[in-house]
Amino acid sequence: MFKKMGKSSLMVLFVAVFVLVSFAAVQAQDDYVNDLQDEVEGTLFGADADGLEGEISFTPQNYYAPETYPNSSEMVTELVEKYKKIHPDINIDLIELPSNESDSRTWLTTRMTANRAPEIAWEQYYKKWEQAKNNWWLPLDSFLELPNPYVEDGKPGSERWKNLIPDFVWNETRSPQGKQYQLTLDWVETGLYYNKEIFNEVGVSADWDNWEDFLADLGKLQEAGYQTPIGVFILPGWSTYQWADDLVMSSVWEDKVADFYMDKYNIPEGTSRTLTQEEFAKAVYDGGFSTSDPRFDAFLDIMKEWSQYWGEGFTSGSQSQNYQNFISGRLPMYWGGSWDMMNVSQEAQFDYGVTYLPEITEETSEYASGKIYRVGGPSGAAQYGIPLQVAEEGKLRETIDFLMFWSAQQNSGKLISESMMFLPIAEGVEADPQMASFQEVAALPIRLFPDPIGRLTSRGGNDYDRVMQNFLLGDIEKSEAKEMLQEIMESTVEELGLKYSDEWNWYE
Amino acid sequence: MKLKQKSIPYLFLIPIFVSVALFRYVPTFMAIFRSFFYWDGRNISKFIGFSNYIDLINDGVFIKSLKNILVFSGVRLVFIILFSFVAAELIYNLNSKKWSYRWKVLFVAPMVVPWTVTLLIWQFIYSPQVGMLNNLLNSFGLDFLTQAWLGNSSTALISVAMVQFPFVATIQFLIIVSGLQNIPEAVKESAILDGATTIRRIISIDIPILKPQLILASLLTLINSFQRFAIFQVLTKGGPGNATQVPGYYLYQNAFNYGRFGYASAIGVILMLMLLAISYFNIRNMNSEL
Repeated sequence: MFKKMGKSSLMVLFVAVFVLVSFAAVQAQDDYVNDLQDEVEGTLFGADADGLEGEISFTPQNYYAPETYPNSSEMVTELVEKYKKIHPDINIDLIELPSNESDSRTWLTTRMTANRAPEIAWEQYYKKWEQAKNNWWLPLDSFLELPNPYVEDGKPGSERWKNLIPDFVWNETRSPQGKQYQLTLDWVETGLYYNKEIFNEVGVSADWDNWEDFLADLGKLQEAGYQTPIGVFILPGWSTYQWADDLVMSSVWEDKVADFYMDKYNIPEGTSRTLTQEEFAKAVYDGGFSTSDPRFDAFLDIMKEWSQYWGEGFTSGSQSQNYQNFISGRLPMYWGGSWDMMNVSQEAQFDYGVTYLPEITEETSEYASGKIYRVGGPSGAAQYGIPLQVAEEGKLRETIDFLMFWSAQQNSGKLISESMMFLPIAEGVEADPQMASFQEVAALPIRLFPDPIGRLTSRGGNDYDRVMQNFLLGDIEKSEAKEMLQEIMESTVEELGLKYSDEWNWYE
Repeated sequence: MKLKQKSIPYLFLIPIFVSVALFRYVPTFMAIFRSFFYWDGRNISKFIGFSNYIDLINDGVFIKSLKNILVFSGVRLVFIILFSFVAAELIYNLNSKKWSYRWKVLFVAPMVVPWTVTLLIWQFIYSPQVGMLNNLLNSFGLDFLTQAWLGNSSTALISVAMVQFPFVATIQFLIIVSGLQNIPEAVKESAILDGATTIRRIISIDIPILKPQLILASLLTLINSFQRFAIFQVLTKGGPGNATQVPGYYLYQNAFNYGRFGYASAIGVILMLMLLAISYFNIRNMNSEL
């Protein structure tokens, strides 16, 4: 039959099939929006939208914690009132999350399991990728293409909601399957808060030339009687150790990371990015990343040396303990997040500053890149996703409408900027000048490795942290630690390979 | 009519039975059922037979957690029963009824303090920098003994087990006190007339008579210790390494951190079987004594 058809006919047929397939793909993407449009006559979203009613529960994370952050909590309540004036039939139920990430995740897991998750929920973007595999989250891509009626005309986002947020943020939060499961409105950074009075008294400066210079000053502080010169602690789950691990790992493996990148995740040439979970898994699977590599020895050596300055009890500490020690003048330096700025500015009874870790250079290790990286990113408090069950319950339109309202520059932009915990990222919103140090950190190159939990899994990451605890305490030798870590990485890759067998075609 | 009247009290018990069935037995049977599945807690559920149990037997962390809970429970069993018994005896032997009552109130009062508050106080006591324990050692010139009690693999488990020192547990204390109060006065008086010292009386009379109460108190202590989870979650997160990992906390992590609800159910079932076995032997022992 094909022989009878001319070349041009074949071409027409091919083009027709291609157009139909493309159309079907686009159609599938827009299903959510179209289904909504079919149900509603008139305007879907915005102040003019009719028929919006019901209750929406929302977890604004750090922004709503009346005891801990009263100012931002008040602003959140005011914003909700503002929205209720526009849509009086919608009731917004604000939920305060537990203060630590792990408890917060437990809470969400319980709610998800019981099909009672909040309509707008906070979770780390990379955890959403993992959980989306279990059908927890709704992809927001179709909605992001719509105009946001709450954004003032002419401002980014008014014609296409997605334009509210810069592309580099979307690039980071895009799932391995290419979907966006959250709307990110802030940027978190970390910094070393330091007590200028103690630094002057001991004669150290917060401006270090390199890693060796930094360690020497930590030693001076220790000699001056500050047994714990810098508050870093390591626990399974989240701890500041995660940041330390990412930075040192990024420095000593930088020359190899480009080999681990996969084309499907590529970004503009010449820029670097954090490895995805799949890329890291593939690197382990192929043997490119291995604990037998001398770079891993360098990593362990740097961590071990640095941990001598983390003070006694670094395997059982907590960030709140470190914070209290810093505020009370017992700890000269505290590695905290931008979210601490508001509280530090209100509670510190001494002159303080914010600085950052210096570059790790060849003086420390032959594998060191000579750079230091930022560990922050779009993993702040405003990472809002919509559980898939919301669509099943028929509350999607109300939920999207509220999220559109919330994200507009004059609403959450103002809240984020004035609450001095995170950097606002919506186009046209300026950060508070007191956050300037964190903006400088945000300009550093991005870390190349995600947290152990992000590069492995929650379980693999926790097991990894436990081995590192034992190694840094001196309970196990380096060789044993390497063997155990390799085993953890390999078993995690096996677990992930089976889970993503339909997508990771390199895994056999 | 008579039958109807007789059945009325039972009708009042129905809500209790329904609640117990709904909130105790149904979850238990659900957990047993789910332990044979690969279940992520929401969508994915696949029957896998005994795989979870086989994996548990080969899971080094779980085996370690069993060893830890035996040490933890053993330490707490000895100390809680010993100190509760000593406290009960001291109060029982007080001549003043008024003071005996006051002391009882004093020992029972901590029961109203939320457990989390107790744990946060102990976290502060053990803190290496500002902790009361290290400060106390320093003030006695024993600074060579100071350390990060919860942060060292060698001291963490014992430190967690020592939480609530001096271990006068309210329920166990009340059980023993009530047992002592039930000893006939005549027995005590004849012991005094025979010239028995207080220590001799405690060893030869009180302990043998109190055996059922002591067994019950021990059983409750063991069950309570085996099920402990919050103490590890707040103080150590099972660390350093897996030095304080216990089945209850491992179950929690598998379910809520790793989304392995089927595996966590299997841990729960094993824990339940262990407690049932302990309870069975204790109750049998107790019955043989009665």
